[in-house]
Amino acid sequence: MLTVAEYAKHLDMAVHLQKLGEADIRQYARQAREANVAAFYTNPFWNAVVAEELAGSDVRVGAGIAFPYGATTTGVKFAEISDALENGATAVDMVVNIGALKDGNYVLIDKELAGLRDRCAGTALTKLIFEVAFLTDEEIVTLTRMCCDAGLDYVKTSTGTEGFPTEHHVKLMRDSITNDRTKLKVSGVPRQFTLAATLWMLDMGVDLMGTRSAANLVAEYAAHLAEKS
Amino acid sequence: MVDLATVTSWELGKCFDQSVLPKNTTEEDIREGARLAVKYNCAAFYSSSPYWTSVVLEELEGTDVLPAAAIAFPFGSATSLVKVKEAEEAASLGCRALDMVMNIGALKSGRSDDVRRECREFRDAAGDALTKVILETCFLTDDEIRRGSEIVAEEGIDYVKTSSGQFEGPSMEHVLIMLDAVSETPTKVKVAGVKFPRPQNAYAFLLAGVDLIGTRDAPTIIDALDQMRQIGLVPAYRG
Repeated sequence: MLTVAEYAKHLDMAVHLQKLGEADIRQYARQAREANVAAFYTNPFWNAVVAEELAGSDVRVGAGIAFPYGATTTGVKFAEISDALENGATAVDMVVNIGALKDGNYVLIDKELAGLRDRCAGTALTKLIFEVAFLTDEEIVTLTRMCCDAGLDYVKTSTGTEGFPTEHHVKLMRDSITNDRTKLKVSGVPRQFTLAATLWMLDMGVDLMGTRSAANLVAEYAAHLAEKS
Repeated sequence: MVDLATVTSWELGKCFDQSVLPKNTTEEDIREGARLAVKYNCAAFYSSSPYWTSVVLEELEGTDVLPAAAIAFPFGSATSLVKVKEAEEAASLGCRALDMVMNIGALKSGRSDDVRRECREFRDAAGDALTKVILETCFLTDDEIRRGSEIVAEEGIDYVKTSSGQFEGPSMEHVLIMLDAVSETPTKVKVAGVKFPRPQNAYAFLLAGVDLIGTRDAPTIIDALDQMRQIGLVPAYRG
């Protein structure tokens, strides 16, 4: 049985709504800090604000790169990674170029994976977002292996903006991981993650879950443990 | 503003920016979309980023359809530094029109100076390319739509644009506020991301005074010109 603190570190809180203003971002960041989740993600413009709110805590400052499309040029993605790191990011989630994957442009994808890994080495966790709802099984398997070969920290299902990951996608990614380093992050699940769903996913071998309701889930888990004891 | 009584279908094409923006777009989708833009004499053809620009240039070569790309699409929440980098790259690759998504989180936080700066830096990075800034009106109050439009005009951007097409489209009320906000300036209005029914909505916005319509389906709208004249929405052709 996980302690509340251990459970919280399996959750990333993510708030990517572009209409949110500074006050909202700060409020969510404080909730993440209080719940002591693994990381708090917003869009890169807010990284400096988030870094300020999370300073001195062990909640990572998360940045979505080329979020949520992933379709921009490699040069722009690399510039955005460097800028995010400079603004204090300690966890970096880049969206794959889905069109390039579908066109079989593996050279470009390898280059983007290596660039993400090298820029973040020693500073930030690296995660690649697949957007599995748009991918075939074969594409998911290929991309998972490429991420493992590149030595990324996580493969991640979805952005949460379009399409949802299914149990099938999650198991396919889990079973395609080829090393001990690379872990699985699930996000973009419809509506809210429920407590039961998070426990089921942890059992399944999911290491991290990204959701806007991360802080609420930690509170629910604490209540659940209190009830059992 | 176009006089719909004096345009042929071919001439009407220049009121439209054709686009192919979905995130799972492949090279073949881009090529097909660009060919349609040429066939219908559109003003520009857009991809969601400069990633596709070299392919777009190939398809548009020898035509007067402008190669174009979106910047920080569709969220607009990147830092200005990254937006500038993307705009510079797009311009250097050959884009002649660029649509940047405004940082509406900053606008809503009262960080007008940040919004002003990103518009200015974007304009400078775009070089000779036409510049357009996307507001995403569905997330804004009327006051924010007006303030955003004013900033765009004051920073010398060529067009203020309603929406990315990824969320709720604009209403006629939104568009009228934008038209009013920029009426005394050289800045024009582009409407995009309008939901169905497609053809008649586009004509209504043109009649309201907008200069450009952004759409993934310019052919359907342009092909409906005669039908719109039949039902009296668009005035009869006077030549």
